[in-house]
Amino acid sequence: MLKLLRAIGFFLLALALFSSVTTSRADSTPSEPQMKAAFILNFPKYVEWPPASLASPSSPILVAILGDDAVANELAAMSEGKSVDGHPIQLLRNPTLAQCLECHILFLGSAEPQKAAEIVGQLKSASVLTVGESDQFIEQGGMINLALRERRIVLEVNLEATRQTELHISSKLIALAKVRGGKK
Amino acid sequence: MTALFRRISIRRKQVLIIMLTTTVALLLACSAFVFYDIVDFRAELVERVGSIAEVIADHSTASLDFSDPKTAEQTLAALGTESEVVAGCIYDRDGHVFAEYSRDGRKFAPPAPQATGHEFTGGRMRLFRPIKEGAETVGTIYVESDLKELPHRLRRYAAIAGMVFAIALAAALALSSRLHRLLSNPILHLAQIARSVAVDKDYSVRATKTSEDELGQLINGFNEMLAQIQQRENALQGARDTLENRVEERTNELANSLSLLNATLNSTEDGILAVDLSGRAICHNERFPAMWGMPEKVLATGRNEAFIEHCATMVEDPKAYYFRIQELLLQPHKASHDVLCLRDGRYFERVIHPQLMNGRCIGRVLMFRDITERKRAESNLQKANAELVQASRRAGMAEVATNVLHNVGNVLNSVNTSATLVMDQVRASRLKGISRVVEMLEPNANDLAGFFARDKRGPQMVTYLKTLSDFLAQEQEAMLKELTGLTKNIEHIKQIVSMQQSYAKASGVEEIHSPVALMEDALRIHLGSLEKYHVEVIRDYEKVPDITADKHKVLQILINLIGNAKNALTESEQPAPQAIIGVKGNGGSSMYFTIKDNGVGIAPENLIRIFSHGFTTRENGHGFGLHSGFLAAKEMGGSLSVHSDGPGRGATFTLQLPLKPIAKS
Repeated sequence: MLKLLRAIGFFLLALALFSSVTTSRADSTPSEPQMKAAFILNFPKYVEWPPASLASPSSPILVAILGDDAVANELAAMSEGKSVDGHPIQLLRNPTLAQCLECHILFLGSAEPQKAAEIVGQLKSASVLTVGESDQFIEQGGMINLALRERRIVLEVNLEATRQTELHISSKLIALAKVRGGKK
Repeated sequence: MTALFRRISIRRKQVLIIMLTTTVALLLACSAFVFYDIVDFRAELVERVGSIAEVIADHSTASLDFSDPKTAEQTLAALGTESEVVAGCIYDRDGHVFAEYSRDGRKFAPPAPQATGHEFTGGRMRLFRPIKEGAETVGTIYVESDLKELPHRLRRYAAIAGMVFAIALAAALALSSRLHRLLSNPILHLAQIARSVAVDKDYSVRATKTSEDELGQLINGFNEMLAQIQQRENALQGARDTLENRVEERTNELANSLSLLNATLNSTEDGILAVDLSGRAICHNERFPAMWGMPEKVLATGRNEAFIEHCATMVEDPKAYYFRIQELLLQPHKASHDVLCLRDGRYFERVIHPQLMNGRCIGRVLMFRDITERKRAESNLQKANAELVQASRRAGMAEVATNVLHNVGNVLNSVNTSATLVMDQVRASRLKGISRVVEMLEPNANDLAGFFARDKRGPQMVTYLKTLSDFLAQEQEAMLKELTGLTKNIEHIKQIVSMQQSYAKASGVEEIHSPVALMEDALRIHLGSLEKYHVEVIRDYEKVPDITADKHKVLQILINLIGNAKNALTESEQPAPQAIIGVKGNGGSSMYFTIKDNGVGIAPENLIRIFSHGFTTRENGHGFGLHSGFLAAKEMGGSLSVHSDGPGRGATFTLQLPLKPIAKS
């Protein structure tokens, strides 16, 4: 009897522990916009801009977002007070074309693919890292695409596009990414 | 082990010590070597694995940043280049396992991530390194290695060490078996010399020095020691010879002094016995047993108790003898002096002296002297003395009687004169005139009125009677005067006689007397003769309390002293002889009678013996007066003293007496 009670107690305890672990796992799994925002904020570590675009060691890194409010909101939350190598991150929502030329990273949401293609075309050879989230983005001439494969975000890099600019993308990043466009 | 070590020779000991030292040193060196290698191996492993981990960490940042575990695992697979690495994993920022590696492809359970560092546990090395992106830590890498390489290495080192060890030992053995001679040869030499010294007692041998080190010093010291011992030996021998001579000398001296002592002991007339505190007779002379008629048997006991027992049979009063012996035995350290009266009429004087050694009493020396002769002489002397006292007493009385007769004679002269004078006066008395008047009146007895009326002699008769009564009154007055003198003189005689009687009376009764009265009584005896020689008597009396004394004795002394003063004055040609008689108090418990004269005085040499018996300066003196006076004064608790500035300068005798007689014991 006592043994049985003890066995039941042990089982219940194990169950409780397991469930708590699984729930905590489920909670910690980030959402897609969160992941994308995190990826975008990580890019400055692996990308080198020409010295002119970051004049002083404390010049802000301008991140412009167009067409994806969910990612924009996440970015706003995550970039608060964040800086890379002393450069603070500054967000710019729905920028004008002129503003797009000024910024360092431009995220183009999948909501307006046509506009995205247009802007990418405008920015050709400008030192702006263009990041998109649609399968056509690379074909459109975008530099990095955040593609969703098997519920995971996979990086796609268009080395052809980056070579036309003064941007330099770290080999570490390239090692992780699927290189597209360059070979076409 | 130690016992064995003690027994083996110094040669072997040396080799053993060298080998032991070498072994220990080699073992220590090998241990240090191995220990160092282990430490070094570990450090090298940490270094190697650590640097790989760091390289992998550096290449995993992007994978972490962009959540790419596959790439991370590919990077991690680089760990396979190190054969020791068993497994490894990468943790993300939150500590979750991000990528894993395992050498044999099996799943392993990664530990919880830790801060940078490493540990060796359970034959494994676990190492953690942070994955950093600039200053930011984005994850942790963990590498686990086994230490299989270590035993291989150790085995290799053990083989090398063993070889080195064997060669070193062989070399040490070869060297030590040659080198030990450097040390052990001199020691063995020294040991051999020491043995030869001990066995042959030959202190002239010397060890040979071969080196200048401590062994050389030891040999030097040993040789010096031998030299000193040799010197001492010689000195000792010399001292022994001298000592023998001196002992012989001393023995001779001692024998000499002993024989001297024996001779001395036997040369005396006294019997001498020395006993120790336990009553053992130490020695005695020949006279001792002879005096006491001690049988050989008693003497042979050598015990004082036996001697005492024998002596007790000899003495007059054994009880008192024993009692006194007991008393003396209780105080062995005290000297004593007794006289023993023996049954056979002999007298022994016994003198006991403690024998002291360093101030401690260790025994007693008894000395017996036969004093029978002396006793006899003493008793004869006493008898003679008594006779002499009697004689001088008689002589003194005769002198007093002469004085008395002389005084009485003087007084009797005036008595005689007075009596003749009174007789003459009575004979020539005018009483006859009355009888003539009676003759004239008798016939007219019947008619007296008529007679006076008719007879012309009647008126004349009245005048006659008046004149007659005046004469008779004168006569009476003169006779009364003479008779008063007469009575006085007779009284004087009476006093002299009663004085003589009181003097002659054997008194000894102590009564209370006025010192002045006593002095006056004594003076009175001599007053007549003093007047005769025109000696001026000056009385210098103080007021002193009465004394309690034997009047007879005091008077005897004072009369003698006054007599002496008179003699001293009559013998001198002093123009103004003077005797100052004094009675003085001293404010205390005694008083003084002083008799001072300015007569012949006393020579200083005589002052000291003036009170001795039989001393006199006068031709007819017997030298007893002052002596008996001196004794009498002493007997009364007083003293008699004399002072004189020398011949011709007078003398002062002082009799000091206590106011109350001292109680006689």
